[in-house]
Amino acid sequence: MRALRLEPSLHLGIEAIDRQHGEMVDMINETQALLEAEESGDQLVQILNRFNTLCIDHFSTEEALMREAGYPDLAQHKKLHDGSLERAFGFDAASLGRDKEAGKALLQLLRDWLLAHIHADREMAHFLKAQGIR
Amino acid sequence: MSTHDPGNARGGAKSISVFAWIDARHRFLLDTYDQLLLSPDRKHISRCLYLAHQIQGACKQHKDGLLAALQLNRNPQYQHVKELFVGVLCEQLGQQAGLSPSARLLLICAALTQDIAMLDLQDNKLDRQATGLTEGQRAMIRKHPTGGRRILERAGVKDAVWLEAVEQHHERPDGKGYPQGLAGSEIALSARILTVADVYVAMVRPRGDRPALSPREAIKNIFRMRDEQVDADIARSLADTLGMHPPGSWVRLINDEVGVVTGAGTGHPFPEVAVILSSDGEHLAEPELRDTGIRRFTVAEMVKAPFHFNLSAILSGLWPRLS
Repeated sequence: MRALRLEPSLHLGIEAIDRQHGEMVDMINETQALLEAEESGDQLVQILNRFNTLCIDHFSTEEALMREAGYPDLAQHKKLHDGSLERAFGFDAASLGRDKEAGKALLQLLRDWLLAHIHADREMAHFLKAQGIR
Repeated sequence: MSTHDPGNARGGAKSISVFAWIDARHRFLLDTYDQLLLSPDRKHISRCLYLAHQIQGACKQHKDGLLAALQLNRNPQYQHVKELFVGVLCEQLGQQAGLSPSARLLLICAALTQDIAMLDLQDNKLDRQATGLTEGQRAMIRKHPTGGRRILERAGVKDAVWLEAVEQHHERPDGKGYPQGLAGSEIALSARILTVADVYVAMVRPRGDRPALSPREAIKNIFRMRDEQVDADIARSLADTLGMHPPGSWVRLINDEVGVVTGAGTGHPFPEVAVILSSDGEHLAEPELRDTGIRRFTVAEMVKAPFHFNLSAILSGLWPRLS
């Protein structure tokens, strides 16, 4: 599989959010490279740990901007975040050390997360930019 | 610095381990409660301020050691270690929120006295009670924030930070809290901080009706409560402050070693861990420090406290001693 890039079309134009999405892309590419190199699971666990931390940071950043701008669909967007958070924290880290399939499941989780997320963020970004947030 | 030379750490003439320090402060707090309830006056209020001052000073010396000792404390005899734990967290969260040292001192006092109006109920029942609350207990719980403020005022406390934090620590951002049903920024910042610290500590300690949650689960659950039950910014600040594996968490590393988190190490999410069980489950005579940023020492999962023949002696030597 080719490495993912945060194409200009995926940029939302809000610096803090784009930077965190960029970190997600890096994590996805690292995960993929590790799986292709058939590395042992230890680095995958580190990625999962980083991913959990990033989720809280990223959702907080977005929600703070939405709150500040009075975004009308904040409650709906938060529900998406909560679902993602449960999946991220529910992932069995210990399985990454012993099961090759678990690594693939992690990659899938990260990819799904990013794609669903950027899609849902587009509308939000549109609104935020109209309020003058960059 | 979370590592230290144990020889050096034993050097100070009057220094004691973090565990002994907590033990002594816990006894002091119990005496303070007794005296405050017998005769609420200025003298006993100054005991609270004195204890808060000591907590603040100890946090400056070695917050990781304090957090670890509080996290590791599981002895049900220590009924009010919860308040000390909440006080230490309030100091950290208060710093993050930009409160001045003197405001944080009052916030710690609030943490120590938040439940002053329902001490009887806690001491006798709630922590061990496996059934639901009775009607009378429920009424007492709903009244304790206002009752607590009244006791403190009678004793001469005039500081708004302290009184508001006690009176509002069960209010919720969505307005569904008690006793006043305040919402959002109507709730004082000090109370919003106290609520998050209080909920966290309640979750990571076992209770009659449920086992303790791991810090990681508690942090996630509190983040899920953001905007409704707790302030979103403080919930995030809690995750930032503690990380997913705060000091005192038991973890298994990817190489199957088991140890306790001693401090932030190279930073979240790579804490420093003192290993006490080898990959084969052998009891190590001396703990070995691991930088979990190194691949083969990656933290794999949280585990329950392991059995080790010399556990308390090993733990006592892990963190610098306090004066």
